[in-house]
Amino acid sequence: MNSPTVPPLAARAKARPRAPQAVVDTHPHKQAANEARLRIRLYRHGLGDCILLRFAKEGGFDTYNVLIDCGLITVADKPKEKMQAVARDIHEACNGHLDVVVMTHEHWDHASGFHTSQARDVFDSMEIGEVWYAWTEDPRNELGQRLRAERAAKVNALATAVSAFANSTSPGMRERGAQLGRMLGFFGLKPGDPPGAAIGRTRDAFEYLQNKQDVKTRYLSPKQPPRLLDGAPNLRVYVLGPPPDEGMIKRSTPTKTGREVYELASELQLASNLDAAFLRLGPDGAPPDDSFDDCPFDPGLRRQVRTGQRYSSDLADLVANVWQAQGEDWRKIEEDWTQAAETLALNLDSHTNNTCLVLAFEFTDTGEVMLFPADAQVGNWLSWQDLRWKTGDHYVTGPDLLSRTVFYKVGHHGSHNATLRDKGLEQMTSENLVAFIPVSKQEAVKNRWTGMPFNPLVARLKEKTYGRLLVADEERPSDASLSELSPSARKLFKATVEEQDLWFEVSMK
Amino acid sequence: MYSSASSQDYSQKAIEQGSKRPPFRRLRGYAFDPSMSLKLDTASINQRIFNIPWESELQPGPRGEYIEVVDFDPASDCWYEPVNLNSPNLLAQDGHPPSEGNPQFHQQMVYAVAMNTICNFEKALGRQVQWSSREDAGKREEFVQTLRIYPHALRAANAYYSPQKKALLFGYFQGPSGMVFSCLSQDIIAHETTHALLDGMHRRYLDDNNPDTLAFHEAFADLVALFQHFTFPEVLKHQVSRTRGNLEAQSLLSELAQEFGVATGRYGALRSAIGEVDATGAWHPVQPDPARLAQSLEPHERGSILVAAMFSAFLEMYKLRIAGIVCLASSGTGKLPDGALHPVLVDELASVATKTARHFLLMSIRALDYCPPFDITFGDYLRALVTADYDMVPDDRHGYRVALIESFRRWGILPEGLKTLSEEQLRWPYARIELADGSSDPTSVLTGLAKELSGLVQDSLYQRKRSRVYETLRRARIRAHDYLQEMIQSGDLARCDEFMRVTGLELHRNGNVEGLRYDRDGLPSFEVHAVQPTLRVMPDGDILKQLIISITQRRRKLPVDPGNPLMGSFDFPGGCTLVFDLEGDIQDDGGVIPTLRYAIKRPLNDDKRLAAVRSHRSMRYDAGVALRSTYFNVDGDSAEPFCMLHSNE
Repeated sequence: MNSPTVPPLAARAKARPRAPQAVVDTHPHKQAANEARLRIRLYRHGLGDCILLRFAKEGGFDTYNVLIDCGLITVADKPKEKMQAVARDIHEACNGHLDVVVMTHEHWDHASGFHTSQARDVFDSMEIGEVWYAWTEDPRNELGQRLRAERAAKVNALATAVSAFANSTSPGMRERGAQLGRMLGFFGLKPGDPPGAAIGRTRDAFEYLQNKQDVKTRYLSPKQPPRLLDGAPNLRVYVLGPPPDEGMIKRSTPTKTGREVYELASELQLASNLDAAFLRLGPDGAPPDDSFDDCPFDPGLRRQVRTGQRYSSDLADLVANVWQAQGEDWRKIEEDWTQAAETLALNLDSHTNNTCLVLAFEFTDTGEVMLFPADAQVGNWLSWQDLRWKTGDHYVTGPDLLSRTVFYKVGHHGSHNATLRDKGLEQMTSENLVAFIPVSKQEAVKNRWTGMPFNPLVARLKEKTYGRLLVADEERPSDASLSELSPSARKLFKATVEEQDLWFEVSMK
Repeated sequence: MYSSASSQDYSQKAIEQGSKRPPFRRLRGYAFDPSMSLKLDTASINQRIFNIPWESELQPGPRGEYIEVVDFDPASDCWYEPVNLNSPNLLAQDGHPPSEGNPQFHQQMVYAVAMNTICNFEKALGRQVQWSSREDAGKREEFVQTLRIYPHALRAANAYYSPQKKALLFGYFQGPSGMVFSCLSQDIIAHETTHALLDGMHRRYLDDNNPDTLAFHEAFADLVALFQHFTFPEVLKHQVSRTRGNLEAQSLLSELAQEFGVATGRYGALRSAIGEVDATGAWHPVQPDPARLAQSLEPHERGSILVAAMFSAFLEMYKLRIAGIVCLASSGTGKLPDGALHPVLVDELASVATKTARHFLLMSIRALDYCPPFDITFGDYLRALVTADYDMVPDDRHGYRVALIESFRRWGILPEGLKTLSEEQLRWPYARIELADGSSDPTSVLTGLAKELSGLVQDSLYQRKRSRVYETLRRARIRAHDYLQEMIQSGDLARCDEFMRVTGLELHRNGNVEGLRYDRDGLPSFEVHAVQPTLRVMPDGDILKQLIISITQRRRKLPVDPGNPLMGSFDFPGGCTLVFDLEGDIQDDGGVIPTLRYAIKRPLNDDKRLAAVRSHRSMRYDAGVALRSTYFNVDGDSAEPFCMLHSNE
């Protein structure tokens, strides 16, 4: 493959002239000889993660290729074209061979590329060695099973809520439904989809490689010793998360008060209780065989005013003269409870994000660490503090890995609770830190999500990296924003980053 | 009130005749919450009877003068029959027996606890309580007769007071072992009712302009719930004998909202403020740490410090006051004999605890009249507590105030700008009214204002219907506004300046204060925020008649960060609370004229305070963009402040 067939992508046509120092991409095999021991390709296709790592193998002409996620948020325009371009670029860059694909967690913006509607055909044509999932996806793991069942129950309840709210006569409810719908986009649900279609689609994309023939599936846990990659010298891979502890997985906000001891066991029931209640709100109302199992009291105590059921004159008086009294509509509470759907959605999102497979790649000779936390939230981050592995005659700890991190893929598109401050970013003390935020503000705004990325976090990242912060939807840092760096460091940084419309690529020597 | 033909089937009139009118309505309820009835050692004390003042026109619901319980369960799409507490069957047995499965008992329970809380407020304040008024669509203020209570409004581990709906919304949810109802927890009901009562007195305390204000709302609600617990003699006797008189040991009383707390982890802040369970399961009281205040910015956590400070003052007082009893019971050794305490001793100790708790409860509530009308800090509250108690009991024989000051100091709660923490420094200073040349001004605007209003406010003290009281006081506020407007228009600059100095208001005609509105004639806008009379019987038998006026102004829509419009804007308030003694100075003719005692002011033109509000708002912006607001747009005006504050997220 000396002269690669570059697909005529619109993106390519607009590519800027390459800096002479930059590691040139057109020649995958010769590049290895170009002394870059790792090239990290960060796709800039939109709000979603897709990262390709190519480690130089011994001998210099081949690379060990690791793909971490491949997905795009539902609201993006032309998702198929974009993901096709990404997948074809991956195909080309690694010569049709991926040694490992890492599926960090079950969210559409991390897995959509593997769906038939996007780019599965391209991956079908590739040779894939292994697929890595978090231990929570292991069908034989009991806790994993329960977490997945809870997740499915919550998605179902929310899908019911979205369709019930969409049919409401109240504008406030319809808005709430629309917001929930946008969040359910993480599970591949598009507005207007029937409930049930949702989880199927993301699940399908997420499990594609698990079910693919000739692909070895591994379930990774922090309890396992660090992995070595075949043929990639001086490299170790540590699994930092998800934590093997349910309490940590269900922890989402950085509170100090320790109030997150939510009774874990009852969550499944909570979700199905809400599902039944949302169903009653829907266009068809309560199903005819509704046994009201989810309701707090004996069905015999129910009184329905609308259906002409018999009830006491006391209740009639109350309804007529208080509830329906003229000018008293502002005190009604028909909709307030539906806020439970938001809480459920947030809780679903956090728990799913906390089951993220978090990987740290370490060069054992230089001690440099590349950190990929996917969308991990508080509980996942906190659990790294107690991690410890024995390698040879010494121990490597979680905080130790953080302190040596030189490349950080910013979690959850830069939202505020996916990069822990004191027990996270502030522990990344390397002078050479480079960070990348996979975000599209335009697509985030389209979903009306403010705070993605979260500005104070962006500001702090700029300080910590001395300006070496790559943001997917922005150009690479200008000289002005790199002014904190020494001239030689600035030159080095500029030489190691290549910018194209479709990706950034960071090379490490 | 409500016209109801259907409720004629019980003979209300016969009960109501003159001296035959019962003083109380006895209603059964849980002393804690249902979970306590399932434990052998607490089951016997978990039932108590509330003595609620007899409401003659109580309708099924129950719906009375203050409260209307509406039991609609929207998530289950149904109603539950309203309880009729006047039915003979219920009158004969003190209402429904406690039961989780009977919604009518739930209605009875919320009614009883909410009314009990209201009674305590009225006792402390010496007037009838009012709910915060509502602005209707045309921005006109509207009287709110009743607080509405929805015992089954939410299907979530949450309960909150909605300032928009003037309603308490209680949730229920599937817990680890069956349904958990927040409306059956005495603490949660008292907590939420207190939010509503506090909002009725100080509706600006919902503005988040400094780290203390929202925390104060939470802490105060917890305090009322906590001290109310200590006023139940039966429970107290049980706990005193269990802990052998040492209430500092972990006791049920200091654990708010057991069941709810266990099932959700909520309301745990208070428990951890007073004591903590260590790794071995042993309980230790928390040691005061003055550094904690600076680190705790989240409202519950910060609030728990105020609760802890008040609670430890209470414990100190209790210990001091039982010292004599313990001395007698231990033949002077101070060491009680081993084994169970003598029942008479238990009774005595429990009665001291009840008395002390009652004093703290009333003192905490009374202090609200001495607080600034907005942006309260914990330091302000300490000063208000000390001043209010001084006015009530000038001679601090038992040392309540000393105990408070000491405890607050140990928790690091210090009022800003005070050099020492002595009692006389902490009391709000006596207001001095003097003209520019230093001479006193017997005919000052302030005295004139109080005189102008004293007739109306005295009328209000003798009105029974709260809607009438509201109307009278509304007229008093309008009259006060007119009176001050006339003063500004009169052009008497010396008087006006003096008034501005005392009140911190900004009343210059045609001024140019940023954000302050001026009308066509150049008159600055200001609001007579509240006019309140109080009538308090002091322990020595004197009657203290006070008039409380608060006047505020707002500088509207100031940007949080002029350089970053994304961070939004806020209204910056200024103004004062004026406390008058209605029978202050005696005049030559033997009559009395009202005298201004305290002017608790927050000047509108205070750049330092403005900068502090700005920095607080931007801190909240940075730290407070929770995940919820990443995904859901929370519109500042329509949001339910307590809903967010009380949920787990």
